[in-house]
Amino acid sequence: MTQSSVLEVKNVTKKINNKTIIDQISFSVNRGEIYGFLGPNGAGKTTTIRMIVGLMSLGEGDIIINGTSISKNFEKAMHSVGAIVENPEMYKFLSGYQNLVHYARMIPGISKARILEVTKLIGLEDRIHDKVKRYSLGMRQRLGIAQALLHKPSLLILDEPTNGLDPAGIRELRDYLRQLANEGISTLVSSHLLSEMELMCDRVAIIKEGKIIDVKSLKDSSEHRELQNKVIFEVNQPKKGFDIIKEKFEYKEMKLLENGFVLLLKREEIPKVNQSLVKEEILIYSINSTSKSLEDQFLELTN
Amino acid sequence: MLNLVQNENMKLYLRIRTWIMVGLLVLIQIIFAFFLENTVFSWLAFADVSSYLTSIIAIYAIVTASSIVASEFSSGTIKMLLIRPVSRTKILMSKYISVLLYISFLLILNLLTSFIIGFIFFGSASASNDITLGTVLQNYGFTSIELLMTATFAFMISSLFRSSVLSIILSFIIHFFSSTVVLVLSQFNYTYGKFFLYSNTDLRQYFYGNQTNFEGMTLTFSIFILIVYFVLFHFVSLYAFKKRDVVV
Ligand SMILES: Nc1ncnc2c1ncn2[C@@H]1O[C@H](COP(=O)(O)OP(=O)(O)OP(=O)(O)O)[C@@H](O)[C@H]1O
Ligand SMILES: [Mg+2]
Repeated sequence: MTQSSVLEVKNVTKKINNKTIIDQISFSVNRGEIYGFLGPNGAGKTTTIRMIVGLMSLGEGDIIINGTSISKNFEKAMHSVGAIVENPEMYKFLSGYQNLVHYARMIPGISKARILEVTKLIGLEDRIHDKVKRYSLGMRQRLGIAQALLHKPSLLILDEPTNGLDPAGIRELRDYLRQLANEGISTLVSSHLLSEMELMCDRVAIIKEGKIIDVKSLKDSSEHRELQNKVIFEVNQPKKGFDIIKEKFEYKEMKLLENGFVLLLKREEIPKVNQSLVKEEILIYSINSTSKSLEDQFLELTN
Repeated sequence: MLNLVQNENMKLYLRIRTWIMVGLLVLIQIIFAFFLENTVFSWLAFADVSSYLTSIIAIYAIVTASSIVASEFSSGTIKMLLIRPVSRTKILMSKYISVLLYISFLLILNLLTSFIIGFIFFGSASASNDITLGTVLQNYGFTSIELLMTATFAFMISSLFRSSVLSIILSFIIHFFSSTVVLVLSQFNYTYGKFFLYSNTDLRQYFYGNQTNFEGMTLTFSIFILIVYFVLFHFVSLYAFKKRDVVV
C-alpha cells in the first residue's frame, strides 16, 4: 500500500447471476487527485462505485480506503467517504434542510453551522426549507452534493454528478472539486460527458465491459502535448502552400482543401508551419486547430 | 443509536399518514361514545370497550412495520442511508425500535383518550359492574404482546421485499387469515397446530378459564414458542437486510 493513495481497488470481480459484470478491476486514487471513470452505458461504473461504498458485496478482491479495508472494517472506512450513487434520492416529504439534518445525525460531530455552510456552498440557501418534492432535478443534485460533503470526507465519490446541473452549476462543481483537490481531498467521478472529464480530471480510467482498458493522465503536460491536433490553414494559394509544407516537413497525413489545407500537427509545430508559409509570402487568413480530444480517443478505444 | 432512532421518528412523524391514523383513532372513540351515551355506562366500562380498538392499532402497526424498511427501497433512499459509517444492523434496529415506540405511543394515547372521553360522556362515577382499572390494564398488556409479535412479523416481511405495497399487502393477508387458520386447525385438532405462532399470541386463553386453542398447551409453552418466533423473525430480517446487494 502506498502512502499517498486514498482509494485502492484491488482485483475486484463481481458476478451477478453468473454473469461477470466487473472483471478483475484494479486502480488507485491518490491524495488530492480527481480521478475520472469513463465508459459507455452498462460498462460497470455504477457497479464499481456500489461496491466501494458497500451497497454491493465484493465478489472477489478487496477495496482499501485510507488504509482500511471495507470488508474488514466498513464503518471506519466509510468515515472518510462522501458519495452520490446514480441519482441522489432524498426524502421528498422532508425539506432539504431536514434531509441534511438526517444525514448529519448519522455521523458524530457535524454542527448546525456546518450544515448551513454546505447549504451556502451549493447555493440553496433560499430554498433549503422547501420540501424536496418541490425541487428541480438540478436542485436535488445540488442537495446530493451537499450531503456528500457534510462530514468533510477525504474521498468523494460522485456518480454522474453533473447530471441535471446547469452549465453554471457544472462549472461551480468543477471549480469546487479542484479547490478540494488542492486541500488534499480526492474525488472519484464517473460521467458520460467526455469533454467534461477532460476539464475536470487529473487522470481518467476508461472502462468497458467491466474492465479498465486504459488509464490516461491529463495532468501530465508532456503527454498532453503529444496529442495530435487537426490543423486547418486557410490561405490565398492553397496548392502552393500545400506543396511547400509537404516538401519541407514530409507530413504524410495532409490534405488539400479548396481554400487551404489540413494536416495533423503537434501543438508546438504550428508556429513552424506558419513561419514557413509567411516566408514564402503566402497570405494566411486563419489557422484552426481542433485537438484530437479525449472524446475521439475514447470512441476509438471503445468502438 | 439514539440519533438513528431520532431520524426514524422524524421520518415517521413528518408523514401525514401517521397523524391521520392518530386522528382516526380518537375520532372512532368519540363516535363510540356517542352511540353509547344513553346506556348505563361508567368511564371505566368505556375504557374497557375502547381497549378493543387495539385491533385498529394492529392495522397501523402492520402498515408502519411492513413499510418502514421496504419504503426506503421503493423510494431509493436506502442507498443514501447505507453509505454512512453505520452498520446495517444498527440501521435496521433503529427502525424496529421506532416502530415499537410508535405502537406504544398509540396504545398510551388510546388509553388516555378513552379515560378522558369516558369522563366527559359518562362522568366519574365508578362502575357498578366488576370492571376495574386492573382488568383494563391487563387487557392492554395482553394486546401489547399480540402487537409485538404482529409488528415483528410485519417488520421481517418489510426487510424481505423491495416494494412497500407488496410488503403491506402480504402482511395484511397473513394477519387476517391467521385467526381463521387457528380456528380451522383447532377444529380438526391438528396436533402441530399448537406450534403455529397465532395459536400462542393471545395469552388470555390461560387466564380467563377458557379452553386453550389446542390440547396440552401451557403458558410456559406459549411463552417459549413466542420467544422462538421472535428470535427467528429478527434473525431472518437481519440476515436478509445485511446480505442484500442494494441496486435501487
Ligand atoms: N442488479 C443487476 N442484475 C443484473 N445485472 C446488472 C445489475 N445491475 C447492473 N447490472 C449489469 O451490470 C452492467 C454494468 O452496469 P452499471 O450500472 O455498473 O453500468 P454503468 O457503467 O454505470 O452504466 P451507465 O453509464 O448507464 O450508468 C450492465 O451490463 C448491467 O446490465
Ligand atoms: Mg451508472
